[in-house]
Amino acid sequence: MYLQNANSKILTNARVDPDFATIKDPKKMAPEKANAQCLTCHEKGKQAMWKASMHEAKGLACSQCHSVHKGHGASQLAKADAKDVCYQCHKDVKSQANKTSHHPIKEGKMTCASCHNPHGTAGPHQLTANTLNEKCYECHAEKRGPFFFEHRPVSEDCSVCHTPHGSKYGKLLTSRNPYLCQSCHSNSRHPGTIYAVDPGTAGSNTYQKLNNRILARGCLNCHQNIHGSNHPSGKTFAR
Amino acid sequence: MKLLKFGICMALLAAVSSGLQAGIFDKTTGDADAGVSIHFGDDDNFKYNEYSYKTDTALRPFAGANVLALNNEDDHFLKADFAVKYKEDLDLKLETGHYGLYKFDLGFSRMGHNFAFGAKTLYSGIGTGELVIDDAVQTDLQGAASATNLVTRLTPYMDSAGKIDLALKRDTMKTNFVWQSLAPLTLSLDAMHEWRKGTRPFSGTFGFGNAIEIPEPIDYFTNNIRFNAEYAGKPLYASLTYERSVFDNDITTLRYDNPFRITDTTNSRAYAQNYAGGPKTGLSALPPDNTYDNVSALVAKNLPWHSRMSAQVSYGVMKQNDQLPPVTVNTAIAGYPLALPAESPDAKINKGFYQLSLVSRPIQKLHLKAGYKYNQHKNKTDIRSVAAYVRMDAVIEGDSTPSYVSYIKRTGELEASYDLGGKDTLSAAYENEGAAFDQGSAKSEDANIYKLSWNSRRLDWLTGRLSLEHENKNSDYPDYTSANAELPWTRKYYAASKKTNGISAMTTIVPTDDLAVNLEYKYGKDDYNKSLFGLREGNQHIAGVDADYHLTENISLNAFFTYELRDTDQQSRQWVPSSTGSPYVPAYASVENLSNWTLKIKDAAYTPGLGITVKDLVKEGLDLEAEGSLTKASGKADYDSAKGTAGVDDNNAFDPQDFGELDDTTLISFASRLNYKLDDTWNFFLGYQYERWKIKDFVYDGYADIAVTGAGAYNSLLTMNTLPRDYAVHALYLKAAYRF
Repeated sequence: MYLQNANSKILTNARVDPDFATIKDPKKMAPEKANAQCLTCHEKGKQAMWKASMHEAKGLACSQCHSVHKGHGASQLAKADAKDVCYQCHKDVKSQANKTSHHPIKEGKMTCASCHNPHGTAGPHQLTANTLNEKCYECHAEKRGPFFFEHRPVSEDCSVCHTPHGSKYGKLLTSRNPYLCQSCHSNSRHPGTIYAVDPGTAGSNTYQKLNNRILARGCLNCHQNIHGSNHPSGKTFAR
Repeated sequence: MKLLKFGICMALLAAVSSGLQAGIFDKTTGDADAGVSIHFGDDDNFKYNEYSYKTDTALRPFAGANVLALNNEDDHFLKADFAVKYKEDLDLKLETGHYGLYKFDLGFSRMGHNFAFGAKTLYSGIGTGELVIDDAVQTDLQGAASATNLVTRLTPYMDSAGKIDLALKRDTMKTNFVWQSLAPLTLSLDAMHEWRKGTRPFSGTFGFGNAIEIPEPIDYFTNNIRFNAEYAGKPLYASLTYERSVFDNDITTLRYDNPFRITDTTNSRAYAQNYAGGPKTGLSALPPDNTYDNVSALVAKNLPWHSRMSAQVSYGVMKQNDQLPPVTVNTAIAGYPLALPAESPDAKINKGFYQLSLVSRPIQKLHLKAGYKYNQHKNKTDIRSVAAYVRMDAVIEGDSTPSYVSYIKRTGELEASYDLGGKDTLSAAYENEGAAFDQGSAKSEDANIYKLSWNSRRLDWLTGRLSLEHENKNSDYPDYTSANAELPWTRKYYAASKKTNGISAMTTIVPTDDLAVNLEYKYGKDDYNKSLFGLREGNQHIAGVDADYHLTENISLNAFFTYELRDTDQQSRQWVPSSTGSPYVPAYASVENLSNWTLKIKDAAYTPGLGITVKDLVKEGLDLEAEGSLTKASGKADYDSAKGTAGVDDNNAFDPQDFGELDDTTLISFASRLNYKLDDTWNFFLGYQYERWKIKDFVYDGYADIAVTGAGAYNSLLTMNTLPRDYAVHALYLKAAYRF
């Protein structure tokens, strides 16, 4: 390598060896500068929306998740287990994924990338679908409908009732029956009934605790097709 | 048979490997492993085996391999990955291609999902659309003289009832073909075929006094296909995608016998807490066949001043037109069989999605973003009234008319980030979300969201981020009327006005090369400020700490702790139409009423954990890894209700007892592994794992498959005993791995 001026005239015959100062270390560069290097080749496919993504806006560098020289798997991830890469920052999700009701992430059947594209998408929360519901329907197509009788919040947003990362309540619900249902429904008669034990009434303890609105599937013991019904008598989703 | 399949996989891998070495590929690398695990304790517990198959053996062999074969001259490659657990899961993937020209892969995976083992049921025909109870049983139970006598007659049948496992298996085959030789144009085709088969807990009902847990048959096929053409030239990027999804359910109705009836009769309004009366059989709809087609186009272009603009247009249609089941199967209903509104619903929803965004870095320190999204959901299903419907196959009611929600949601956002001296970044964002609904709970919604965040890399050993968020959402939500039978002031929280405040803080401290500590805290509050009934408030705190420490060159430690606290507040009222507590009766028309009740739910969970890695333990090449964690979750439901006089001014004239154990669970996990590296090719592993899970909940207190009152009378519910139970399992495993 020879030292040259702007007109490419060689200024000296002395050979100039490159030293460490000329080598770029992505970890010491500002994220957008380091990322620009990767984007010269990787700004297509899954990375096409990177510049408009949440991670880019937060100043995340490619090298925080990927390792060019010691990467794991086809995606050259910095850690052998893909979810551990995400858990570096998303510790609340790590905690949720270990709860009683969870998607099979810790069992290795799914990864975060099963639903999200961390490089950015047009959808909400970097989901690889235009809406949350469309993402859920990819694996749960039986909930897609459209149904003859639809349950309004189901059509609008699955996360009205479910929390996808994990819950202590069954079926990834945000709360359990009947409390979840009663947070929206205060109709006359049984929807507005208080399902609590009256300590002053003999037998109430057993009657209320083992009531068919609390035990097993709660409200869904009768309202079985809660995601929507294709039955002409399915007005209340009990058929 | 399973052993044979296992053996075939191993033989196939060996054949492929040796064939590759002798054939067109001149370099083959990879690794293969095989081993066996042995389980002690409650290893047949369904909760322990939730996402795999139940095995009938404590000894579970497994194997896996990853092979990469290359032709160095012309860049052809072949990859094979497989992992199999005896009688459990299977994952297989074969990938071949020519780097830069094309790629083809084919994969198969099998996954189980277990819901209950040993569930008790009176039914036969499990897994089909016809669940049948012996006529003699139905005849005997129909003859019960009282609710107490019913329990006496039912008990021996349940004691000798058949036991079944409620589980399903998900088999998925995927294929992908990518053609890259026309770069920058890339064409790809993805296809997926999935088969889900089995049973899962479901329920049937014949009236308010007669609900029964039953097994739902699952026999689903889902076929997806996706075609994409992508042009990735600089500065222009364009992509066109078409996808189609077809869902096919081989069992779209479920007929199930009523255990307490052998003859059809009616049950007046089905309201009585009464098992007697009603149909001998019920018929429910199961998920219908449906399709989804979607076309989308994305264009992105790099612009001057380090800017990039992207625009996406997407249009989709969801359809369903399965034959409607009969209005009722109860022959005692007057006018049976009742007229259907149509042969099939011809249901259709159009989905439109449009997105435009512009990001720019006009100067090095400044980053700007502007975006707009438009999301349309238009239900085009013709509204067809059912002249007379039948509640729970038990009693005829009046007409019912379905309603379908349609909406348009628009989101506009602006975001700016400024780099303060190269070490700190300050960001501010504003978002407006507006929605208009037809047949929605609210007529419209309008939300303004403000975000502020500060990222700091000011010190080499300290980085941090602080974010604040405030949302103010207003909904045009009209009061309910007596026709809705809802309290007029109820607001369904997903559509209600609310104020949200959130704070999130995260920091990483690296004081030395050997120690890294992460701290995180998040708080969020949703205040449904205009909801007098329904959900009124929700709060959530999450805190966590995570530390990694290299004690020595060979010893690393990891410790973590997370804490989560969540609480909600909701209010409702126990009322009957035209009577005590009815908001449509002038005497009870005010918001405050003795029949009101509030419920506060509090959930807490904490998880401490510890891990250690030791390299060259007592001997070079012998490594130890161990980690353990404890997750403890607890919940409480606190009721409150003012006390009036029963039958006079209060429909719940008592002091309600709180439920102190609400899905309280404890999970203890421990995993350890000794890894001995014999040489560059052979590794041996000896592992031990322990998992213990316990649950406490008020429903377990006095639980019985046949729900009874304190006086021993039938209490309206027959279950299959599907509650999850505690388990403790020890597992030892031995594995050999070979690298080539």
